[in-house]
Amino acid sequence: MKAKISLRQTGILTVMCILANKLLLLPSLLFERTGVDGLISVAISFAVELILIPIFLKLKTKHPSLSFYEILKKYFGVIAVKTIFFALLVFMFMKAILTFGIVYVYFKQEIYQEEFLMLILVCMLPVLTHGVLSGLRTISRTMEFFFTVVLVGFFVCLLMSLFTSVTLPVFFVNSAGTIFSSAFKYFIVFDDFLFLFIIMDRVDIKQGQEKKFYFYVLLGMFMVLAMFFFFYAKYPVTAFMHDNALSDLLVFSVQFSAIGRLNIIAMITIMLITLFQMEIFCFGFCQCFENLLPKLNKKHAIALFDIVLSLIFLLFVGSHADIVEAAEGWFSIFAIGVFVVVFIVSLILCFVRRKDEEKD
Amino acid sequence: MSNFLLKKINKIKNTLNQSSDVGDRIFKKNGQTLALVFLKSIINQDLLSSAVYFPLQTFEGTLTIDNINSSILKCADVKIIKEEEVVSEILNGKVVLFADFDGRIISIDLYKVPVRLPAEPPTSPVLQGPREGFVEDYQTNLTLLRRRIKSPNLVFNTMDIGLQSQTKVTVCYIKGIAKEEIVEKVVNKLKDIKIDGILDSYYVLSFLEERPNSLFKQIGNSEKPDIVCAKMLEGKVAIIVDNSPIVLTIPFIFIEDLQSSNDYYTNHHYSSFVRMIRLVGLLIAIVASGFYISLQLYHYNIIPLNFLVTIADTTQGLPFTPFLEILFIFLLFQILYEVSLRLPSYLGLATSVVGALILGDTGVKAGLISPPAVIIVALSKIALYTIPEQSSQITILQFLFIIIGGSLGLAGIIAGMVYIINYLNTIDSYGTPYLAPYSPRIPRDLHDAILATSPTQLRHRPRSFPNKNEVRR
Repeated sequence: MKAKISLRQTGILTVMCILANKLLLLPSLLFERTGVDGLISVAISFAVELILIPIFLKLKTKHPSLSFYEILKKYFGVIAVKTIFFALLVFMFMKAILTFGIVYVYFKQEIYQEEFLMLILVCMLPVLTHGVLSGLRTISRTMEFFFTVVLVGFFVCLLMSLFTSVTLPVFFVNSAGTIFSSAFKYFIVFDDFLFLFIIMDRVDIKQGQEKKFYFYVLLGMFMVLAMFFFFYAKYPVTAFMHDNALSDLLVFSVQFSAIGRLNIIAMITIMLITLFQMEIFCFGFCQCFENLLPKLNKKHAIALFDIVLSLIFLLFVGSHADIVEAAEGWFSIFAIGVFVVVFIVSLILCFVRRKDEEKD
Repeated sequence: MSNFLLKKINKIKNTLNQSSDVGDRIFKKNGQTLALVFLKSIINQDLLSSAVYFPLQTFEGTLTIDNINSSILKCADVKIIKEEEVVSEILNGKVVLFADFDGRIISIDLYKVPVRLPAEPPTSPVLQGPREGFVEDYQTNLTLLRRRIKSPNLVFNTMDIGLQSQTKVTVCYIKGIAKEEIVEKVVNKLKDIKIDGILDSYYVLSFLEERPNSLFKQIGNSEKPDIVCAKMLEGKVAIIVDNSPIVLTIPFIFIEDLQSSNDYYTNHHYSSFVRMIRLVGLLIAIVASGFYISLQLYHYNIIPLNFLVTIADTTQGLPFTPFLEILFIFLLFQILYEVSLRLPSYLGLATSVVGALILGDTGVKAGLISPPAVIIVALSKIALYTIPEQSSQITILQFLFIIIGGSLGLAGIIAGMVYIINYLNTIDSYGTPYLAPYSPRIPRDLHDAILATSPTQLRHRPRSFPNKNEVRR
């Protein structure tokens, strides 16, 4: 029997998923299109993706021990399930590329100030490989261990931004159309709850615990919205120039001569969050891979993931522009497509009953 | 003289390879012949004369095995044994008595070896609380435990391990508190040990670890009976090995090494503070040197300006890179440490003078190493001993983080930390997650983890490891 993870661990995993890709590049990209209304776009995206949570919980209650793959196979057949899981595999890989790309650009600009792709690959891939091979329980325990550090680091970054002049942002200066289109322009950055469907059978959420789970979902969303708010309050005019939002919150804060530049707090927080997000996406990728090709195992999946990710970055991706282009382009269109498919399919699964179930 | 008895004695002597410490005494009493065989090196010879030989010689009447066994001998432990047990009884410090009028054999316990008195163990000194420590004699160690827990549920299960050494290994637990599955698992693992000799508890430890090749300690140890008793009261199993003052405890979680017996004998607020200091010490010990290198090599803009200027001033003209400089000082410290461990104490002082004053000070003056680097490495080396039980593991981690910090910078250090925590999360010591109660989080156990609590609030046994009875009172 596969080891299950607790409600708290699932919640922490979800918070990490929600934070994914949103802490560095997204605020400035959204600001370019909609100004401070970027925050409204984020809220809209959250509201859209939040629809998946009650559906996930309903499915989980209905089939407490079955995986999403098994449920889909039972109701829709092998071809449909393989197609959906292939889409999820690609989606997980896209999220991983995006996360890695954003942190790569951040580290290149802010920390190492030189080319260091191999260096960050050497840092990340062994951790990902070990984490994924050790299993979901190990990954979630590690996240649980560091969760307090991440929370403290994150909120310290927000609070430190108050040590300079801040302006309360004035919202709704753009048209509703612009705000909505921005929300979907970067949908690849959202769409976080699909991961929960992939690990459905490994999650231990019992009936009556839904409220606690919602707490973690809302905590993650609150953290992102709070960061956007503080970022736009700090840079009401020049936010588009600050590509590394969480880190840049500390940049012009009072320099504590005794402590030194405090962006080390942001560095540690971002590095931890990024590693955990990569672990989540990498695990999601491997789980889909195992479902698609049952004759192969996790080792093959992780080897494929490591090789393809390294090759993509070594050969194709290198700059901030590449990442933005990918995120704005077919990555987001694909993300919307996967979201819609999973939403419809899961909705059907929630209400449809097979004849044998009716007899039961 | 009875040929029958002589043959028996010779047979035993041959079995023991005519060893020079095999002693025998044959004597006649009222026409009956008796023979005593023993190992002179491990029995109390005074007691042999006064409690065995003298009563037998002075007894008026007819000797029978039954009255020798029940009334004549003045010893506490006398029993009738089988012929095949004779050699093992002799090897365990018993005197074996043969008679020509009865085929039955009597074993008399006169075991006596030089024993050190319980004293304060050098590895765990305390300011307050009991100062007794375990000794090499396992019987004394059992006494120290029994003295503290006068419960009929305290169980000792002794077995002989080691083909040649036949070392006594005792599994101790409190029935009704310790989980039976764990006791059974430990006993089975001990029974499966195939080795010629057990010379210290470390030999047993290696066989009991679930992942013997891991860098990290998976079995607890202590030299103090009060600590071992406290752990048994939590539901753990203790293992006492003859000839070793170190007692093992199972299961083990990492947080145990951040706790000290002192914490339970002082104000719990102060204990919480001290435990936090130990945690900070642990972090400094592991990453300080690597972090300093990474700051100097990759992230010097993070360093406060005044400190950066000092570093720049002191490192100007050094022949080594920051990485090699720290590595050099680290190795120097490690060599001095190894030397000081092996030298007699009167030479140890001389080594400190040579190491700290001559090598350190002259190294700085000669422009080979910088003062901040010496301070950082010294700090990390001192911090190591906030958790002395883990010093060997932390030393290896220090070395690894120096290499990681020098080659990969801050990102490498954070990735390294996550990797280590990931790894520690894969370790389960007898069904206990290694990093409990923090991952997985077990809220009820948090009050006695990094934070300490008053004994009045310790109403439940920890949930972090399996035990049979969760309620203390």
